[in-house]
Amino acid sequence: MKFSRMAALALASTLALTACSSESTTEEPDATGSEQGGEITVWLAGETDTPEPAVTWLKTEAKAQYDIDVTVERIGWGDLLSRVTTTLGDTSQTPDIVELGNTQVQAFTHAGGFADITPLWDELGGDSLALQGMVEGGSVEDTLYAAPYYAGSRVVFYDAADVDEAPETLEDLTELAASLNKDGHSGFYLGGQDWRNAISWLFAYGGNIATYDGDQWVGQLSSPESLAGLEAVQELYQTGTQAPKDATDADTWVPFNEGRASMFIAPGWAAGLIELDQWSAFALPGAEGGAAPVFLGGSNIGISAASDNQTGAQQVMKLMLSEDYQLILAEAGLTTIYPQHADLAAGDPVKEASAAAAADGKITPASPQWAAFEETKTMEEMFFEIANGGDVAEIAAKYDEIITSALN
Amino acid sequence: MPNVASDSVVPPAAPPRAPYPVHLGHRIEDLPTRATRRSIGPYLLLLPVIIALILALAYPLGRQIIMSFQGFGLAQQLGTAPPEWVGFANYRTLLTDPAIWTVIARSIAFCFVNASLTMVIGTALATLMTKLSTGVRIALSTSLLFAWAMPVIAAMTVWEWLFNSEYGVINWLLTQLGLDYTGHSWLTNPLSFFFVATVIVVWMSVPFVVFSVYSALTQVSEEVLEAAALDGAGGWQRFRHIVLPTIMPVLSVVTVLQIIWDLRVFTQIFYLQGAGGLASKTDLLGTFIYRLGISQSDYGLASAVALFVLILTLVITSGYVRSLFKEADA
Amino acid sequence: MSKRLANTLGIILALLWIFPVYWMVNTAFLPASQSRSTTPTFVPFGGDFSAFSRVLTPSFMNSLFLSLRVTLLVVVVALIFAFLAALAVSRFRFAGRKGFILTILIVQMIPAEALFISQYKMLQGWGLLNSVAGLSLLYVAAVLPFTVWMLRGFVDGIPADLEQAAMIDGCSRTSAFFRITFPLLAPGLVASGVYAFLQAWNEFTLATVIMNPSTKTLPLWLRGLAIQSNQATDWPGVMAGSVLVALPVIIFFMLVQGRMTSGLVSGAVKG
Repeated sequence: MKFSRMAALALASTLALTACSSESTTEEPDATGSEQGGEITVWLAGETDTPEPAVTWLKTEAKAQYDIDVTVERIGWGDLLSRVTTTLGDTSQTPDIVELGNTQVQAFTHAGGFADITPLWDELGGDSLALQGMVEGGSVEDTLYAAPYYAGSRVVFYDAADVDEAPETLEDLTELAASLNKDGHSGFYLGGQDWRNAISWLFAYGGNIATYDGDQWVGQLSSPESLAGLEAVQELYQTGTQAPKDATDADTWVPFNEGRASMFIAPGWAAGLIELDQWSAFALPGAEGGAAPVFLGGSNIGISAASDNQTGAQQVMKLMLSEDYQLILAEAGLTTIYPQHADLAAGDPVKEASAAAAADGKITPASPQWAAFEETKTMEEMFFEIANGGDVAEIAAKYDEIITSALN
Repeated sequence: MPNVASDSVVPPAAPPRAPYPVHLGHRIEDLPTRATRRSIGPYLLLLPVIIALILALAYPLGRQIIMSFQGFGLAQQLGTAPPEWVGFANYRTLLTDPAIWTVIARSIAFCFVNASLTMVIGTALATLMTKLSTGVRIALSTSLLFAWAMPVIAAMTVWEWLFNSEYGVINWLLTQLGLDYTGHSWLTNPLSFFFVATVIVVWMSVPFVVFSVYSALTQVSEEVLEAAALDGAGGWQRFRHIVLPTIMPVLSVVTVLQIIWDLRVFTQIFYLQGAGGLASKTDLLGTFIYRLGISQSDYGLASAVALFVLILTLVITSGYVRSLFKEADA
Repeated sequence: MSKRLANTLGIILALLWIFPVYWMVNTAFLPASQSRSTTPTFVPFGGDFSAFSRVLTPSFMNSLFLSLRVTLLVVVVALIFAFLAALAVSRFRFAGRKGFILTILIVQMIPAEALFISQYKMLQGWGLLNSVAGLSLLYVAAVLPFTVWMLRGFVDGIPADLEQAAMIDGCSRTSAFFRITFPLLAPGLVASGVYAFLQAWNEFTLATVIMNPSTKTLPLWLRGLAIQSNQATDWPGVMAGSVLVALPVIIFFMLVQGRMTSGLVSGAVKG
C-alpha cells in the first residue's frame, strides 16, 4: 500500500522531470515520443564482469530488432553507488538500464528508483526461471523492480593428493578437514572473518540471518537451525583450519597454491588461479547430503524510473534477459536465469559444482538497510568471535539484537 | 621617493643589489601609508577567491544546512518523495547514539597523537634537511616526495600487505629475527590497530609537513642566525627565538590542517577495518559518519553530522582561532 | 649535531619513507603468484614489464590527458587567485579583513562528505556536468583555503621594508613586488602548487559523480583496475598502474623544485 503510493509519486515526479528537461535540454531531438528506436544507455557493473561478446551481441540485436542504438558504459564497482545515487533520479543524465550488485539493489528499489518490470519477467517465464532468491531481492512486496541478471556461486576446491572423494555431508567435510589439519597446514582454509563463506553453514542447517515477520525484520541467528549451523562452523574453525582469524575471503587460493591447505572455498572463477596439477572441485555439501545453499554473489538489472524511453529500455532489457544473451554469460561460467544452462556444465567439475550450489543459493535479507548494515562489518566481527571459540548461543543472541535494530 | 599610492608611473629601475639591512618581524604596522589608506585595491585582490568560493560552495553548503533539518534519503535524492521537515531530529539521532561519545573521545585522542607526531616529526625532518649534505638532502626529499605522490589505493594496499598476518613482510622480518610473529594479527587488537593506523597516517602526512615547513625555513635569514650564534645563543635558543617566529605562520596553518584531517581520518581506518580490524571497536568520526549517513543514503543525518563535526573542529582549534583574531587585529 | 650523524639519520629516514614505494614498484614487476606469498620477494629477479603493458592502454592515455588538463588548470588558477588574496590580507588593512581570514579558515574545516550530491545538482543546473571547467571549479574551491593561508604565511614572512627599500631605490610598487617579494615567495608557491596538484590529481569522489562514465580521471581508472568483484585483482597490474599515476606528479615536482631551494632566496635576504 505504502509502496504503491511511492510508485505513483515516482511516476508523477518522472513526468515533472521529463517536462522540465524537454524545455531545458535541446540537444536531444527525439528523446521522447517515438515508439520505436532511439538510444538506450546501459550501465554495467565492473570493468570486465559482463563478457564483451555479450555486449556486441546486444548492440547488434537491439539495432536489428528495434532500431535502438545501445551505448554500454562500464562502471567500476567502487564507484557504482555514488554514480547511481546522483544520476538515477535525473532524467537528463540517468542511464536507461542499470546493473547493481544483489545487495546494493534493495535500497534503490525501495526508494522508487526503478520501473515495474513484473510483466516482462512473467513473460520470460516468471517462477520457472532460476535465481528466484534474487527475485526477492529485486522486489518490493509482489512487484519486481530489478530482475536477476546473473549469479556466481562458491564451490570447494580440493587438492587431489589429499582428498579422494567429495564428502557427503557438512559433518563429513569437517571430519575430513580435521584429519588433514596440522601445524601450518589447513585441512579446509576458512578465514575467521570470511562471513560470506561461513554463512553457508548457517543456511545449510536451515537457518537464516533475518526474516520479515510482516512488519519488521527480526534477527534469526538464535533459531535452533541457525545455532546448529553456527556450531558446525565453529567446529570446523577449531579443528579443521589454520587460517588466520583476521582473514577474509580475499586471495584464499594463495595458501592452496603454496601447499598450505587441502581445501578452500571460492567463487568458480578462482579455478583459473590454481597452480596445482591435480585438483578438482565439489559443491559445499548440505547438512543431510546434497548441496548446501551457498551465498550467491550476483547482480540485478533494473530500468530507471526516470528514463524517458521506457519502451526502448524494456526492449533492451528483454534482450539482456533473453536465452541467447544469457547463454553467452553461461559460457563465461556465470549462473544464469535459465535452469537449462546448468546442463552446459556437464563434464567440468567446477561448473557442475557451481551449478549445483547455485540451484538453491541464498542471498542476504532483502531489507533496504542491508547494504548499509553490511558496511558496518558486523558479520565479520560475529564470525571472528565464533572462530575464536566464543559461546555460540551468547554470540547469536547479541548479534540478533544488533541485526534487528539495524535492518528496520 | 616614488609615489607609493600609484603603481604605474615610475619606470622600472634596477633591483637593489644591497637592500638596507633588515631584521625580521617587520609587519604591516610599519607601513602606515598603506595601513590607513582607503582603497578598493585589496577588495579587488580578494574578489577572485571570493567569487570562486561562492560559486562552488554557497549553494551546496546552504543546502547542507537545510538538509540537516530534513528527512532526506535516497527517495528524496531520486526525486520520488519530497523532503520532510524534521526539526532537530537528525541532531537528536546523532547525539543520542550510544556509540557517538566513545567515537568522539577516540577520535580526539587519535587526532591529538597523530597531529602531534606528524608535526614534530615533520618539523624535525625539515630542520634536519637544512643540515644535510646536498646528496643526502636530495635522497631524503625524493623519498618523501615519492611517498607523497604514491596513489592512496596503492599506499593502503602495500601497507596492508606489510602488516598482513599471513604474508606480511613485517611478521616475516620479526620471525627472521627470532621472534615468533608467524601469523600474528596486527589488526584485531584495537590498540595494535591504532598503532598500525598511526604509522600509516604519519607516513602519509609527514611529507606535506616537511615540504611546507622546509620552504618556510628558506625564509629564515642566515645572517641573523649567525649573529645570534656569535652572541652565544645555543641551538635550541636560536630555533626558539629566531627560526620559530619566522616559520610560525606556516607552521600554524599546517597544524590546523593536520588537526582537521586527523580528526576525520577515513580512508586509512576504513581500509584497515576491511583487512581485519573490528569496526565496532575502531570506528573514528570519519568511518562513523560514513556508516551513519552516507552508506545508508541518509543525507539529512549526514549533513547534521557534518555540521556537528565542523563545530567540534572549531572547538578543538578555538585557541588557535582566538590567537589568530588577536593577530589579525594588529 | 655533527654533519655525519645528520647524514646517517637522513639516509635511514629516506629508506623508511621510500620502502612502501619500493614495494609498489617491486610488485609491479612480479608475476601475480609472487605478489602475495609467505616468503616475500624483495628484488624482482625474473620479473618483467608485462604488468605495465597490460595497463598501458588507450584508456590510460585518455585518463592521463584528462587528469593533466584538470590538474594544471586547478594549479594555475588556484595559485593566481590565492596569491592575490594573500597579498591583500598581508599587505593591506581594510574593513572585513578579519572576517575574510576567519571565513577562509572555517571553509577549510567544513566536512565535505555530504556535499557531493548538492554539487552535482548545482553543476547540472549550470550545464557544467561532465566538463573540465565544472570539475576544476570545485577543485579550485577545495584547495583555495589552504593555498591562501599558506601564501599569506609566506608574504607575512617577507619583510615589507625589503619592498620599501626597493621603492626608495626607485622601483614602483609593482616592480618592487615582482623583483623583490615574488622570488622570495617561490618556495611558498611551489609548496602550495604541489599541494594543489596532488589534491586535484588524486581526488575521485567528485570526479565520479561529475564526469560521465566514459571520461575517467586517473584515480577512477586506477580504482577500476583495483576494485574487482567477479575476478581476482591483478595486483601487479594495479601497482604498475599506480607507478604510472605517480610519475607525472614526480615529473611536475622535479620541474618546480629547483625554485624551492633556489639561491635567489637566501641571496636576497642576505644581500
